[in-house]
Amino acid sequence: MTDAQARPARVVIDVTIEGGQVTPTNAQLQAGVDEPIILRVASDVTDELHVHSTPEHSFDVGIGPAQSFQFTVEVPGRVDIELHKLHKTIATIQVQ
Amino acid sequence: MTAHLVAHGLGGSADLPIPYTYALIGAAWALTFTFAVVALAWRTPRFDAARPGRPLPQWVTRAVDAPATRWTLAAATLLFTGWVAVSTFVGPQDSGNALPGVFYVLLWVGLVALSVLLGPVWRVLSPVRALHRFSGGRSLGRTYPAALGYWPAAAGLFAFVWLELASPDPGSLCAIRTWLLVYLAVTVAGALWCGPQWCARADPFEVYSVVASRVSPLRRNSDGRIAIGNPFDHLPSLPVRPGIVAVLSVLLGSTAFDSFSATPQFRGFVDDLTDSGLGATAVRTAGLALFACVVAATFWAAARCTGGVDARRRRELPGLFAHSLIPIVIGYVFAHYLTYLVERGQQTVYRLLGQPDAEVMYVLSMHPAVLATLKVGFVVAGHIAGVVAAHDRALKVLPARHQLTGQLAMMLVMVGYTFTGLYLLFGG
Repeated sequence: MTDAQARPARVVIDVTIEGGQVTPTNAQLQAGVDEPIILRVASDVTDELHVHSTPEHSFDVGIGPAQSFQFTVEVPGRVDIELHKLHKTIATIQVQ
Repeated sequence: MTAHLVAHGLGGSADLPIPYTYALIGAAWALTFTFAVVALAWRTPRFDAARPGRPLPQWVTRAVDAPATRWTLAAATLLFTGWVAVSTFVGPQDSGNALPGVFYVLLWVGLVALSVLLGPVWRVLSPVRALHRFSGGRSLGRTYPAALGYWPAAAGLFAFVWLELASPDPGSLCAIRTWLLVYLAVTVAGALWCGPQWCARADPFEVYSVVASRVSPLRRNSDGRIAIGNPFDHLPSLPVRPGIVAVLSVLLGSTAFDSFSATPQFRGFVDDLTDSGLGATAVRTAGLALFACVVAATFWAAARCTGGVDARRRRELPGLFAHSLIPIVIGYVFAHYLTYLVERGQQTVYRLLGQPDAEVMYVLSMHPAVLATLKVGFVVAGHIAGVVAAHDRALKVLPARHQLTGQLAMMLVMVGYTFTGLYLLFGG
């Protein structure tokens, strides 16, 4: 565990949904296969987060701060994370 | 499942074994060299649609054309269609349903792969043709208006790519069912009105299948016998009818728009313009139409851009060169959708068989460098074949004094397509 790694061992995305506005949108990130990706969501509405990866993931977003969702991606490729009801793409992760 | 059912973002620029700019510049040079070589060393036309291929044994043709084969295939087609229809209603009503995979992967991409391998297979796989066969081939017997040409097919193809790339929710089961019902209603009505001729000219999938089949090594000789031959001899046999350039432009423009619309820049642009789902659909529809129109306009202008021909001949030129777009279209389709065909295709078949948990082999995704190289290879090979086909046609149809200069505009347009295509595939 002493190796200096090129990138942190996990990816964290802070998402805020407030008054119909989402930040961030269309962010571009990189991650490794099987590397944990964590979404920390603060929201004032309920929605669904869809992760278009293999395997696919779907999370129910509730009302409140500090909701945390974690997933990993097993197959390399471009993965979109979308808010289903607001029809917004939060981020695209290039998984390698 | 929303917008990105057919997102295919595997094998991006980071996966290429060489830097992306090298691939871009290399591809443009490969094309330019090809053009220089054929322009200097290739002075007489070599490809001829009338040249017979090497005939396969007679039993092959007999077996393929046997009424028993045709009836069996027609029955199988109808059974498969019915099975898909039933499974979409009894299966899970969410992203686990088989219908989106059947529609976007097996039908849209699988059809191209099969047509490239075997020939215009939609003629035997079309459920409407099968229905027509079982109803005894009855129709009102009107003649299909020649002026319509391939325009209805171009409109149908645009409707398909619209649903996939511009509609509010491409993965919606309801949207796909509605699309398919409208398609079936229009095609059945057309077949009743003027018989199989409607299917041949106006069914978008059959026209796409015929277009793709022109790069197949398998073809029929003039005596009807199935033969194997040079695909470059097969290409010019594409029927030139009104709307053929539109068909190819929709196919090429939509693949480019597919990459373009997935870029963060475009998505940000759409979000800035409008907040509503319908507004976003309107912007994407305009973008898709613009891409198809730019392809059509550049190709049309480049084909006409030559000296020494009269006005009538000039009008015919875009149609006469249209077949040179086919390898380019096929190259892009494979570059974009090969992973989808191989990987989503497996998943779709498992879902149809009621085995949604069967393990899918991610053969291509797991080897990103191979995949990225394949993508560049498909795009570049498609363009080189396009340049060669266009050059050979130019030797045939352009007056001797203008054969070289008359092709320059086409050459520039094709280098432009290569650049844009690779940029969108990898850089965007």
